[in-house]
Amino acid sequence: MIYLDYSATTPVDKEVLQTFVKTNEVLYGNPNSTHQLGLLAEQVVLETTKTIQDLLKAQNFEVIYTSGATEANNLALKGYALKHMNKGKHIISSAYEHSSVTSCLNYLEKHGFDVDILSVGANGQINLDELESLIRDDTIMVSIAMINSELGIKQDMSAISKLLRRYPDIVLHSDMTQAIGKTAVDVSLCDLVTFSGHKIYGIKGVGALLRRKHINLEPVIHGGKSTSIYRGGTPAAPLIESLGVALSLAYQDVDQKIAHIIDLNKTLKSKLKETFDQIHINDDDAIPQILNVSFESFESHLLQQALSDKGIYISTQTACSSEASFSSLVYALTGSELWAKTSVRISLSHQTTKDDIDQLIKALKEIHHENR
Amino acid sequence: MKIVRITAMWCMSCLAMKKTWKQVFNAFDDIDIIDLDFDFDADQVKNYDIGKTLPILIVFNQDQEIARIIGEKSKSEMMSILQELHEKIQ
Repeated sequence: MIYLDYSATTPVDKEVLQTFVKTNEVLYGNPNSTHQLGLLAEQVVLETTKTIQDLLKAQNFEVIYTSGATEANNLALKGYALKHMNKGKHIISSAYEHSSVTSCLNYLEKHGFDVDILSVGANGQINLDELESLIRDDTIMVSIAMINSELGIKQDMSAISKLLRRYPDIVLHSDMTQAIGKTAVDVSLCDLVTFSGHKIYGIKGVGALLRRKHINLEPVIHGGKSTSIYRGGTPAAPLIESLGVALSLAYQDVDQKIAHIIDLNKTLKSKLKETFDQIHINDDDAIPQILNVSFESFESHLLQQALSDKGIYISTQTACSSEASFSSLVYALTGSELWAKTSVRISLSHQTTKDDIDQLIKALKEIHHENR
Repeated sequence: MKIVRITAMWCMSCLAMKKTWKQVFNAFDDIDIIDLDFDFDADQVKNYDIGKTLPILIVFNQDQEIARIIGEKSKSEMMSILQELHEKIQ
């Protein structure tokens, strides 16, 4: 089996899993309980929060633990919009967002908010002039993913933040699920930041929203005492601790890991180009972990299935498609229906080897010959 | 003219089109919109055999389907498609 879908999810790191199991076995007290076992579990949560704040230089942020990035995005978008609807009901976002952001924006639009979506520029970057032109007196929030999950387009968060500093009443949210633990990030550029554990070799079912401390939110999940007034529910100390361990491990030797991935990405691109005539790399400037490529001879879901049959797992992106193949984002970026129908995402990790790449190329050649 | 508009909560193109639709439909006084959600109204949606791409507008004249408008369109494209359809049925 060759796994090349690390942007969808990652295998859990053994150390993360062992920590999770051990804390479940030993420190299973409710962090809200005032007895010794509860206090020890609470200590685990507090220490993890400090670890995350230190790693992300996020001392000015509260770490609100959630069930994952989807819940964190819900809390950021709905929580901020509903809390501040008296100030305005206008939100600006981009076409590069994950469906969990899109769904929240559609929900808010149905409930009377006005949402503007920035257009897709030729190079994939947000057009700052367009962003500024859309800002109105009633704009309360801008939400832009730092890295798009389908194409790996990286936005210039520094430039976006610099522009928005001229509008102090507008908060900036960024879904950094594809960025945190994988590349250098500066969360201080934003007011609300989302990330998830399972994209960084953590456990599925935990993520966080970083909330700049003066930003108020309306809770999405109401409940009893928790680590945050903005998210009810018994704090899941073992999951929370596992998130901290995953993040610490993700940033261990991060430069070497990225260098390895850059090397793999170059190798993969060059082998694809020398082996196949009818391919198109859909964003040459993407982050090295993601290679979105169109194989013109195969609809994306057919290629994905053929590779899956050979034990190689990649991904197709079907945003705005009810099934099968068609990437509206690739279409918007390239203007090519053919490339939109035939695009697949190969996502790499520091765990990927050159042999994995060779096996992928071999399988692609076989599929190509079998379908001549 | 009746338009069955099929969208989904997770669909960015659907969200991006909402302003354009509002502006274009305001220019016509005989358009009746019926909204269906791809997931929540799945039983009704399956009657339309909509294929792969969202959003989709299915245009009817006197209960006869006359056109399908699929995916993202600019305001001018939408306007000219609807004007042409109007001319056709008059």
